[in-house]
Amino acid sequence: MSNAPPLTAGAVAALAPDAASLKAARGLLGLKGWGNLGIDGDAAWGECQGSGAKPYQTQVDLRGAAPSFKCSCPSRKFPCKHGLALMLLTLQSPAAFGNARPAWVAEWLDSRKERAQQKEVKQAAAVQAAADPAAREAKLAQRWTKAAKALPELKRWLSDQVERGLGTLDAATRPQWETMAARMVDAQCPGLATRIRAAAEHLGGGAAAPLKLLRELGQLQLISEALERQQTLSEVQRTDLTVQLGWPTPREVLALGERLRDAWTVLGQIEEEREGKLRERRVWLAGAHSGRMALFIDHAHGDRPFEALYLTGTAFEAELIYYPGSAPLRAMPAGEVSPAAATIPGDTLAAAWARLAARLALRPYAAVQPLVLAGARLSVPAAAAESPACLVVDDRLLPHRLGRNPQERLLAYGGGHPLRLFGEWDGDALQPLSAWNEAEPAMAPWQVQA
Amino acid sequence: MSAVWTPLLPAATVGVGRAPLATPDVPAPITEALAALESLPAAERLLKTAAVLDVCLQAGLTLPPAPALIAPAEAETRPPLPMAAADVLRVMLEEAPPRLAAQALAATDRAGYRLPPSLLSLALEQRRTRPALAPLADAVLGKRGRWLLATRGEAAPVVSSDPLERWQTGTLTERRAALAELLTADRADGREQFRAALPQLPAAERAELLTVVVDTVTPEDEPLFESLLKDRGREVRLLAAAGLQRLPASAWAARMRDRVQALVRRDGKQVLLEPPAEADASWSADGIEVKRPKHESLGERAWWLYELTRRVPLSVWQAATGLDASGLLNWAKAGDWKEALRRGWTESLAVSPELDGLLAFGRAGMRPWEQAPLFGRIPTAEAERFWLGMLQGKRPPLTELLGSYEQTLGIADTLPHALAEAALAIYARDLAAERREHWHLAQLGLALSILLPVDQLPTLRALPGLDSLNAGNTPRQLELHLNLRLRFAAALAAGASGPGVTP
Repeated sequence: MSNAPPLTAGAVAALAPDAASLKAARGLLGLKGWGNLGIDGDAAWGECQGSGAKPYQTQVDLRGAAPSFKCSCPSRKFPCKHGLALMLLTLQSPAAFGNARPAWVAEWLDSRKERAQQKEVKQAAAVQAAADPAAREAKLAQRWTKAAKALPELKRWLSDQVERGLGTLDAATRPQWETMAARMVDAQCPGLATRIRAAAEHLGGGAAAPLKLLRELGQLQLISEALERQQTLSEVQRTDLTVQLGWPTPREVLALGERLRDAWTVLGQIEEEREGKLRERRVWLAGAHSGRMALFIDHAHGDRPFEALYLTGTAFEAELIYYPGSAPLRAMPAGEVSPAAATIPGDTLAAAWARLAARLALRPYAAVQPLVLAGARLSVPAAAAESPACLVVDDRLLPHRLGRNPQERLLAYGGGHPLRLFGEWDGDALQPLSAWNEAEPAMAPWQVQA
Repeated sequence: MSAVWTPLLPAATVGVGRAPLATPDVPAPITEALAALESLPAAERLLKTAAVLDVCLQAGLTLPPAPALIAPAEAETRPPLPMAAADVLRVMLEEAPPRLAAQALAATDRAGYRLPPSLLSLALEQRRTRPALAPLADAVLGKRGRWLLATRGEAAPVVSSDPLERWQTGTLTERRAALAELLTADRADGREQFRAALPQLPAAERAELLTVVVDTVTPEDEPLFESLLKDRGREVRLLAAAGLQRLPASAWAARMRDRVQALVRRDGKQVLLEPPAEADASWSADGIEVKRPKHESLGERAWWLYELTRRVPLSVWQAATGLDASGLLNWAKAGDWKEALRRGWTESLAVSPELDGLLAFGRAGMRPWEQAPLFGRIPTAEAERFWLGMLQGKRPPLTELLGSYEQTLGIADTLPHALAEAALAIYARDLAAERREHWHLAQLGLALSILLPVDQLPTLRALPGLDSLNAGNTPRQLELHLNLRLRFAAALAAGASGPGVTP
């Protein structure tokens, strides 16, 4: 049998790079245009008659956690319409598929296996390279010195702001804050520069601005204090701090991170635009046996797809490497991936806060945190039935950041009944990413980006 | 924003030193941490207090109690549309012509299903943007869908069962439907309701509602129509005349018949026409427009002839001349007044359709602008016979047929079966012989893919030559329609999840 979870037409649609490709694929669902259709445990394939003389050879590798596509057509879209159509056909007309694997499919599958093996060898080599610590240490010492020199200036600046009064600052203050941000870049602390620039967005923001600014400055105060005492910090606490300062984590250090093998359930994911045409994807994972959470972040440019597909609500067995830190979350998969049974955890509100408090006690810097809540209800107050809808957990009102469309979809999904809800908590509000109906656990999950 | 910040805000806003700084009210372990900061210089104390509070809030220090929520959605009474069918319906709602979605929604209702929650948001969106789909969508919203409407402060669409209430409070469309019901239940009472409402209605609405009365006219309506011949609205006067024209026994119809008969004189075998030389003083009172419109191509006498001609059924002319429908056409062709007569007859056919006349006019090559008024007015069964007759001819008007049904067919309906079969046969012939341009054949195929009953789609799909049409994107669209409709029908028939679909 295939390793991949059984795909629905909806999941195939989610693979499409854009709506046009999907539409084009739907136009290719007539069996007349296809020849040599086949499927077996590892792959699906077929030949689709295009505008050229020779039919396109379309094939899909089904062995991984997610399907991989290859097609001989000239399309720059990936996966192309032929690949999508082939997957849809496996659902729509399974009877039309044979199982004799042609040579061109076998060759491709072999070459993919080979490449996966080469990649592992490379990773092992990276771990070896970490064995040259001297040069790295020297560079790091230099960075600490530079940061320490800039510290008094940062502290003075922070004091200046609260002495002037945050209510007196307005958009005209921005150039001064930008100067400070630039000073932090000079001191090789881009993380601080980013924080100052983000805080500057609130300048001139009206009545709510002083409080928002105060919270941002409080965070900067926290980091500057840690920096002041960095020599008394533990190794791992210093690593936490370097992340705040925006120092890169060298690859060889990453390779030395904690490794954890578990059955990882994809709890939720979100894709966001970054500067340029960069897209960032955050995939949240929960380990069934360890009870640990992990965050996998990857990037893609422009229209290009992300390297692997993660289906929310499915699980895979794999080893993850955590980025070093006191309360590690960020991680990346390493090595082979095999299918596993999904388990969706769920905390009471009290348990969720306790878990979060424990993490923050180890590492107090502001960051997006995962929350998995049991018995969450999204509905509208009886007093005024109108949006925005209220998110209620254990008789508390949890602020949320649902946009109009995701909110309506989640209302429809839950019908006001208890949900198992996963989301990203930023200290102010929850951005729900996925939800399961507790009364009907077999129902496919709701997702914020459908 | 949380109240724990309140003691810090004055100093933070105007500057430390200018306002007092108080210690926030927080649970015990945090209070101790904050108390340790009290001896620090004010600026430092504020910044550090903020740092502590921010971390505490990230760990969920305070959340307000929840308000009472509305009751959750009730349990459903219908099963959800099977997943495989729902997948297809989603595509139909998102990117196919509304007719496909309408057919599928109606089929969903007939099969006793409701929409699954994953389709509700989209269905409500479509309900807003395509009002024609609304009644069909409402029938399959289920308890969850109605609950969702309630969360938006929109009452679930409650359709009053009392037509009188809808007549009094409804929108124009609802009033039309309500009036039809009232007239069916008690003609005299319905008519009275309509008459009583008239003084408050603008002319356009008077006309719109009057069409309901005209379409179901009975001899007892005569006094109402007579009185409306003096209405201020031109459209209302025309409709009142149309109503009277459908009452051959009415005094008005008799007056009109006399006027037309006076124009014709039979001299042995010859039939002579003498159009009016001047307007009669009594005409205006009967709704005849004496004054020729400004840009009218007909001359004054021809205009009067046309005005009289359009007010009587074709049979009046047949009786006056002793000619049948095609005989009339030939007679007119030979004379000087053919334009006025032909226009008048065509419009008269639109008001009181007579199959022989329609067929004769159709075969004689009706012009597009002449056809337009006819199609909306012919009763369904008559129309079907009319078109079946037309398709027997030498140049079957397939394009006109499909265009006409596209205009008049209910949004969820398909072509009547016999007509669909005949149309498909002609299309197959045209396609095989490449009798029309490729783009034209593709357009016809596209219209058929929407309007044919679903059981005839396999025949359409199997037609040789259909997939080799060289017409841009149209063949792909056609294939998409066929694919969607056939898959939906199959998934609905299967009743359960299709192959490869997770439960």
